[in-house]
Amino acid sequence: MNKKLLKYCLIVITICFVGSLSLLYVTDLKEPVFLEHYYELMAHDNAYFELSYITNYYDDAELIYVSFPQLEGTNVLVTYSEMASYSPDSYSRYKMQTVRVSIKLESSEYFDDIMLDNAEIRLTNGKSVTGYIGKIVLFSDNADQSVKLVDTFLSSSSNTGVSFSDARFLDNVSVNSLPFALKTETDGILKLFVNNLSENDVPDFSQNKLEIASSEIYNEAKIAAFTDDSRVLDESSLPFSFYKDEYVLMVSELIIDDSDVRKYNRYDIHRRIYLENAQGEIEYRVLYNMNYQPYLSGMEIYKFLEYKEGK
Amino acid sequence: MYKAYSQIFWGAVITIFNINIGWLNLLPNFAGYILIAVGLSKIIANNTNNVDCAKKAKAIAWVLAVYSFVIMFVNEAFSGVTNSLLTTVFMTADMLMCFFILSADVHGDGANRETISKQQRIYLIITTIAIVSSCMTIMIPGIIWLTLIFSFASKIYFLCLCHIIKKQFIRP
Repeated sequence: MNKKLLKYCLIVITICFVGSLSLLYVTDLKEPVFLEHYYELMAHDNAYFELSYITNYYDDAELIYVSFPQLEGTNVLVTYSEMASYSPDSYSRYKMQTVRVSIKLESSEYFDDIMLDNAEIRLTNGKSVTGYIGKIVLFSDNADQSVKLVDTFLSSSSNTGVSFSDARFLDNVSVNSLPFALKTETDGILKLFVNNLSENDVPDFSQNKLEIASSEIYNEAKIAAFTDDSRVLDESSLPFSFYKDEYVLMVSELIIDDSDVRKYNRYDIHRRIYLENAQGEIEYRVLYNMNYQPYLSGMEIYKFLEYKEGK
Repeated sequence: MYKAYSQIFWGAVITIFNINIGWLNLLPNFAGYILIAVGLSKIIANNTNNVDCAKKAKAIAWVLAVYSFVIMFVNEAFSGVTNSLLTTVFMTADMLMCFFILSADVHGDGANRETISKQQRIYLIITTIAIVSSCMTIMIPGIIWLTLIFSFASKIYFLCLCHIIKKQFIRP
């Protein structure tokens, strides 16, 4: 009596089964797809960066090896540890895997900037994938520790993409060089400003520095200084002068518009600033906290993969 | 017949619940399906009206018993997708087995056969929803909860129906 209903049920099940298999085939990632990473980092023994890639939700192969062809023959070694698997939401067909790559230097010799744009990963299922990872620039720490031209670099950042670093200059200095390898890649999304802080805004540095950095009043002063009169610090504004005992606030903005495809990328920029006094002594400082990490929803991962395919 | 349906009832209970002590499963699925097949043998031996349905159910029960036994050892070898696909096929076979078990009574001499026939329809619909959602978990893993809820509901519903059928017969 219920045979007709059984027949209909089996038809529905068959349609769903075949439909799911077809969709599975169409949307299947044959190999992991890397996000694009734009990092400019100082290479030292405690430095690390993260590599993210997208795999099918059900892929359970683990990473067993990661290497960068451009590091061959250099004194930079890398080790890795798999950090986390991030599923944008439980309804997604894909998941994002992140690997932490730690840097180890064989020697402390100075080296020219190294740019990594390809990585090879090997997985426990035997797959080996070499893919474009964006541009990761590693630079050497060539600071002359005996030169001291600037003091009290305190940094803070917020999740809005704005970060602050403040400084007090111990001598008249000029900025003659702002080496930045990822200028093109960050064009229009990364801005660096300099603001003078008035005497009233300047905290008493004899106090606990951390306390000052988190002080509400000081943060308000930073925001006020940022909005009043900021000077853009880029190559077109060089040479850029600072005076002895001048307090400045350096403000960096890394904000990506939602319509910009660069929202799928990861950024971590350590900006180098070379300061030189009248005697020709050079000190360089690094500004941190210019980073951005996308949190992709399931639908955005689809769009990202379409964008990568179209590229 | 009371004993036959009692064996089917307890066989179904074993297939629903798992009690593990370490790696040892005290209620392995294959044992449940064997018990169901044994119960069905008794129905086949005692009844002449609905032998075909009972025979089909028995054949499927044996297939499921063998499958459940094998999968205990090779389950780890399958990827998540293969597991989902196999689960869908397994659930469909299980649904067919339960359908034929209920049909054996619907087409038989049981006093409540009209009622059982209606309940068989409800069982089919609940189980179909569970299987369809199981298919969809391949693409949308997050809806696994829907599969679990509906497959558990359909199993419990089947147990209730077995219990009702069992009560039609006099306890020996």
